[in-house]
Amino acid sequence: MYWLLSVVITGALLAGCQNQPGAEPGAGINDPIKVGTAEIVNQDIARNAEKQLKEENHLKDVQAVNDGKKLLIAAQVPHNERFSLKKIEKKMNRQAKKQFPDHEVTLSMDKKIHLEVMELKGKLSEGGIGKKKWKKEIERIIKLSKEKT
Amino acid sequence: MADKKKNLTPAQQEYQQFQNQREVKRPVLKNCVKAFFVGGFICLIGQFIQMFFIYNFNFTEETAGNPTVAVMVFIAMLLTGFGVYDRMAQFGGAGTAVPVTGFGNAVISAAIEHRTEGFILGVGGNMFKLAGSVIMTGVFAAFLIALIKTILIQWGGL
Repeated sequence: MYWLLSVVITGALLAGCQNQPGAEPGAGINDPIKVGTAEIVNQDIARNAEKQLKEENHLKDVQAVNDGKKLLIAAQVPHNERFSLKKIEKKMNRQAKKQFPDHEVTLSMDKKIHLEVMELKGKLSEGGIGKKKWKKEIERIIKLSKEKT
Repeated sequence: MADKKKNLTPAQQEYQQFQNQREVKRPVLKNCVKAFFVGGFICLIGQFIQMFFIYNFNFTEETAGNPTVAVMVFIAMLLTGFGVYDRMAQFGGAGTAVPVTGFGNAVISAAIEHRTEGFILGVGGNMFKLAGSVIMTGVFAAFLIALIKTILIQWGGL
C-alpha cells in the first residue's frame, strides 16, 4: 500500500509544480484577430473591456465579446484567488458597468463561459460565423451563464 | 471517566494498566495522512468528471456539480457491490467515508447486508438505515445554515 501512497504523492507534486507558460488559457486567441479586415461585428468595445479589466485586476485571463449593446465578459482568476471569487466578481461587475454604462454587461467567472467565449472568438477570427449566428450564440452563452440548476 | 476509575477494584486497575501497556497504539497521524490522500484522490476523480461534463456537455461550473455527484455516488455504489470500495475504506478510513462516495457506500452496504431478509422488508426497509441519518443530518444542517445566512443578510447587512 505504501507504493500507492508514494505514487499519489509524487503525482500530486509533479502535477502541482509543473509550469507551462505556453499552456495558459486564451494564449494566442487574442493575437490572431485580423484588425482592419472585415469583422462582421465590431469588437472594439470588447477589446477595450478586456484591456481595462486586465489592467485593473489581477487576472489569469479575460475574454470579451460584444454584439450591439450586449457585452459579455468571461474572466479567470489565478487559482489561489478563487477563495474570494464572489468578491472579485462583484468588484469587476461594478467596474465594467461603470466603464460601459450604455451597454448591457454580463460578467461571468465560470470556466464554461470562458471556454465558450474563446471558441466564439476563434470562429470570428476565422470568419466562420455569420452576423445572425453571432447574435444567437452570444444570447445562448448569456443564458447559460445565468443558469442555476 | 474519573468516577469509573475510582469504582474499579485494585485488581481491575492493575489489569487496566497492564492493558494500556500492551495495547497496540493507534497510528493516528498515519491514518490522517492516508485519509487525506485517499479523500483527495476521490475528489480529484470528481474534479475530472466535473471537467468532463464542462468540456463535453452544456454544463457550467455551477450546474456541473449535480451530474458529478450523481456519477460519483453511482461509481461508489458499483465499487461497493464488487467489494472494491471496502478494501479502499480499509486503507483510507475516513478519506472514503467523508466524500459523497461514502453515501453511496452506506446505501449499498446496508442493502447487501439485509438482502437475505427479502427485497421489500430486507433491502427496501434497511437500505437507508445508515444513509437516512446522513440525509436527515444534511437537511437539518442545511436548514440551520440557511436560517443563519438569512438572519445575517436581513439584519446584519452582509
